[in-house]
Amino acid sequence: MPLADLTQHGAHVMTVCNACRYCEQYCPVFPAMEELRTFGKADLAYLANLCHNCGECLYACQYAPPHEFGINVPKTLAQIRVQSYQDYAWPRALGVAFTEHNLLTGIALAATFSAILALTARTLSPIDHMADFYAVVSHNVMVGVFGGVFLFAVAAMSVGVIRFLHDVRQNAQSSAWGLTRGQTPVLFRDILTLRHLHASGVDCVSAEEHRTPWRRWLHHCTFYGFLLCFASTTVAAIYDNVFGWRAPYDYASLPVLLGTMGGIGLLVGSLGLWIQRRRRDPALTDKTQHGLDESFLALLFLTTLTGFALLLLRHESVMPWLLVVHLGTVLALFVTLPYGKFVHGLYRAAALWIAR
Amino acid sequence: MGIEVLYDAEVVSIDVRDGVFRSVRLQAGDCRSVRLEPDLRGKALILASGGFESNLAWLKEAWGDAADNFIIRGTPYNTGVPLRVLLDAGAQPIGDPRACHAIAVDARAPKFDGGIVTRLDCIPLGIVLNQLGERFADEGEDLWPKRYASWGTLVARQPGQVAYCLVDAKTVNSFMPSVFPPIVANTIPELAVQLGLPADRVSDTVARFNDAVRPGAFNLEVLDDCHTRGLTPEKSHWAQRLDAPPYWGYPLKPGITFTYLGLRVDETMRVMRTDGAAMQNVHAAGEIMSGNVLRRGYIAGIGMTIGTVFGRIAGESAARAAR
Repeated sequence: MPLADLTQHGAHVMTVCNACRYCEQYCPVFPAMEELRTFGKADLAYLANLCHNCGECLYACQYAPPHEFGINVPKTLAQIRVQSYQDYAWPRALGVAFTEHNLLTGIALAATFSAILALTARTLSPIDHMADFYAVVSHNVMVGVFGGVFLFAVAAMSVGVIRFLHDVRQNAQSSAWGLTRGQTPVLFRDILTLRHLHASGVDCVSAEEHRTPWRRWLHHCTFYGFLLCFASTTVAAIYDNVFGWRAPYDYASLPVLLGTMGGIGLLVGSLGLWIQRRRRDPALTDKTQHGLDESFLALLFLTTLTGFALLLLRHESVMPWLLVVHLGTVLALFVTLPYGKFVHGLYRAAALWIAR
Repeated sequence: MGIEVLYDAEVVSIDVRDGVFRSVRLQAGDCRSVRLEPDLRGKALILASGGFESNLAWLKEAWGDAADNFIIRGTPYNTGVPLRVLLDAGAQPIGDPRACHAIAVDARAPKFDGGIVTRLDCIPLGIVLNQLGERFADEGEDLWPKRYASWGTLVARQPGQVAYCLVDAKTVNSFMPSVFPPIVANTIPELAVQLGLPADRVSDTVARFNDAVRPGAFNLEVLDDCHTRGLTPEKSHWAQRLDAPPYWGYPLKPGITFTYLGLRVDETMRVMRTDGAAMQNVHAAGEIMSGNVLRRGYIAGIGMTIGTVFGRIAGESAARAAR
């Protein structure tokens, strides 16, 4: 749908909802909507990012298809959400990535980076049993490339979220930035427990009569798995740069333990979410976003899989090949962070903050 | 509990002879393929099929040509076949065929199934004019929830079954937004023209209304003391001068929620015959038997209450009849 039409359609949907209001108990989208009378682009971006796509309101709606108003809030907000990722992307030109993602782009990027690393590697021939990663890719290259890409990703995503907050806050009722003592725990609970996927004690829907906790639990596996892996990397970076303890680390060391736990979460979570999203009622989602979702899940899965392979086979002769493939996949994941599904969590947290 | 529910199935006739129900005939399927089901036989029947609000021909019998301008707020399928069949089989009617729960809805609403979003609750905040540009009822008699179900009938009695609610900038944020945008103008005559009303008459009505407004403390929370003096009809509360542009107008039509004509029942919800005897195994619950309960007003939730209370009694009674 062209942009002007999407904004217009979103405004129409929200106008119908605002005149009805039967869904106001479901989630923060509807109370936030009730504060508004007209719905501009920034308002819609805000409401769309508040939506967790639990799907409950579609099945409750008396104006859902085949009604002539044809209201489908989860799907419309999903479309607006991706548009908002694109609009707030920095640099703006790269926002186009949000609509062009597919499984192939993610895997091809990983393959390309792996190939480049393989071509520039110091050696790919079997080395001794020391599992010396830096003999394959030098310490400086690793720190430089990954540190640089990581810092760029953080900067790009920060610009996007700040611009989103700025735009939305101009219209939102609350103008204060600060959180009161009571709001802080509620906000963090809502974000960290995905409360709005089981707001009233009922799990989010997979189909009209089908409510399951799986989507939430699998998301928790993925999210906390990602955090544990991030913690593992951070601990390893401190070991390396502060204490001078070089990788590889023992199986019983903190980085390996954190990474293993996180990795299990990521494998289970990303695979489970993949299966789960294919089983959900297609009416709830925007089918043009399959590529965006699946390429992110695939990169998470492949990063973890190659990570485990490297961990288990690091003393074997294939180690250099496994290392370049793992690093190439991680690089692809990092490069696409600001231009892929990852950003949903940032914008949603920002929207929840405004809605508090 | 072993109860089978048939979706996409419509009752086309009911075999009731001498007050005894034997079977019901169904038509099932969707618009692509409709088939007649074999007759369903039963020991007892409970009718819970409401009124006849989407039966345009029947509405016309009661209201004449005015019914052409009614909007039906709910499904187009509630045509009242069971009600008609029972009346034809000698059941005793109760309630006025013209009586209905009808609110003022936006005239731009779809003919059927516009539901809740087409209602307009700005009436107590402004003034309501008919096609001639004249006021015809006290807009400020009570707040919207209490007067909700009276404005449909009030509008239905106006020429062309249409009316126009006018508010000004002072109050545009005091009522629930409507799904249709207001018609907006900077002067009253311009607004009248846009609404298709005689501009001179509307200006005159507004001027007379403004002159009649007595000063008071506007308060939507209570029946306040803002009223008019010297008008017919007066506006008894929340009367404020229409003097702050831009002015907003909404066209109104009667929107029927449900009709009240029903079947008389005894205390066990058995349907009564015209001869005063109760039918042996035909029961009724809900709107199909509550025409007299709802005659004068309506409070939120009363329809659900009626359905629950009388449905339970009818269920018990039907179970006994089927034993």
